[in-house]
Amino acid sequence: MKNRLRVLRAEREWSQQDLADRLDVSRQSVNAIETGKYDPSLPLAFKLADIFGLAIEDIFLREEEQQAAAE
Amino acid sequence: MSFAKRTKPEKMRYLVRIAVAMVIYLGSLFAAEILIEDRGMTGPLAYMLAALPGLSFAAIFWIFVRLIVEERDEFFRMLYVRQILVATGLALTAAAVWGFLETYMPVPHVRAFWWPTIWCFGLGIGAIYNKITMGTFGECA
Repeated sequence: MKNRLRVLRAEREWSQQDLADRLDVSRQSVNAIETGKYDPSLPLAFKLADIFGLAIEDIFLREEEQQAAAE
Repeated sequence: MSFAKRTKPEKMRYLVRIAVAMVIYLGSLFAAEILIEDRGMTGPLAYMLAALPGLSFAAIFWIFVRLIVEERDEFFRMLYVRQILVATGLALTAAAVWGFLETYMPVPHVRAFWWPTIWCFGLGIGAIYNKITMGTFGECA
């Protein structure tokens, strides 16, 4: 699933490790989520949303949004 | 920072459990070799001792179950499950294929303890599969 994690992280000048520490997960987990290889569980998605102070749908893109972005 | 401090508690427990299981496995194997093979031990105790190295494989499966249950990182939990599925698929497929080969073709007999051994090697292949498809080996490669 595509997401805006890399952009949101860059805006705050956080490394993947910084975000991983805040989430209490591994850096590899953040990388896998960021690259769309792994979709986080709902609790982890909520944790991400809380950390960035955003709604989940502001971080993760719906399928239609992904298609629109690709076109 | 020391290795123990850098390593997550669940990973540390996994490593300690694997070490204990290996000691039990090697110890029972060594005892069976000496007492049954060399000294000709017989009777129910010999049967129990002969089964012990095989039973220590149960510890390996239990250790992996505990690792999955105790791991706090959900991404790593998924990697472990994928790794175990690859290993199980490889070992059971190899066992089935060789079983049929033994039935229909003149191939040498393979002792059954090789199938769980292949499962253990399969964990390594599962870790490589994770690296290729998910970008990381996981933590128990």
